[in-house]
Amino acid sequence: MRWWSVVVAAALVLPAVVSAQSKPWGIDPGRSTMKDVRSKVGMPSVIKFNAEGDEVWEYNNNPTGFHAYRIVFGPDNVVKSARRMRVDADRLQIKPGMTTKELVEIMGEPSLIYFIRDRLYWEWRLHYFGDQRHRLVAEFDEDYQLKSTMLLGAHYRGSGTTHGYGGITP
Amino acid sequence: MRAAAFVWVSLAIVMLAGCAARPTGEAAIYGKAPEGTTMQEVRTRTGLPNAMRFLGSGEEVWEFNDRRVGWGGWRVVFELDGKVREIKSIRRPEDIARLKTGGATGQEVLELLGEPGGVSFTGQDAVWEYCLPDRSRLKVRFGEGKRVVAIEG
Repeated sequence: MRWWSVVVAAALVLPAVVSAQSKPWGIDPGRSTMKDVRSKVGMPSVIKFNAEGDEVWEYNNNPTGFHAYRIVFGPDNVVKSARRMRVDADRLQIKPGMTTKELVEIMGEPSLIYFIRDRLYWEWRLHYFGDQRHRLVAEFDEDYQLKSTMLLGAHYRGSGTTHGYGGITP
Repeated sequence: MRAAAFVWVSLAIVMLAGCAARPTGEAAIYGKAPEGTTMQEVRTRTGLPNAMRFLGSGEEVWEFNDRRVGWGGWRVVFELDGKVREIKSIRRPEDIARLKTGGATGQEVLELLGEPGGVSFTGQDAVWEYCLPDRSRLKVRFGEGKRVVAIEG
């Protein structure tokens, strides 16, 4: 294959990939309305309000999906932002000592909540390093503050995520 | 005859004592009174919440709402140490009565009724739809400034 054919293929495919990431379902911040989102994507998993008072719809595909999306609406019901959640940029914001509230603000609601030896654990399903399916496991201390996180590949024995449902995706 | 009467009276006393000790109402779904129940026990008995919120104080709130197929909902508020502070049902008549004064924000509706079972639109105005514990339906319509302008049902 000639080098220029690779360049041409990349030039054709890359904008579509970038567009799918920045405008999921073709939702256009500043133009699309809440009604558009409802008709294109369906009912959100969670409706909440952020610190600025904006309405936030999350499609978290919990407990089995690996994709999650967050759409923020302005006071006029027009989309302010629409983006994928649980991406590397979100994961890198996580620091030990964070509270459950701070983690939900960054990552959205966890896919799983469980206790092992009286210690609280949360899990999210996400893609790491491109499209590699992983589980992010967060362990909390006795004061319910984040102690540590661990990233497990979906192929890890016993993870049960190799057949994970993709959920609602653009 | 006397022995039989003694047995019946004893049985009645034991049964009445059992009723008195048994938690009632909202606490009954968890099999015990909320005070002292831990997050771990709620997780074990009730499963994953449908929604998770946080109060201004940082207290965690789990909502079990069965919003698409169910008719009611429960909310469990945890203190910062993970102990249950409160278990209460949502979508109660008094919650709806508070909304009927009008002008509530979406945030206030969420706090009173929990997540809606459906969202539809009248023009560009959102309508949140709820199923209530008495098997009736409620529609909350938002208007100017994203505040409640009408409640139907």
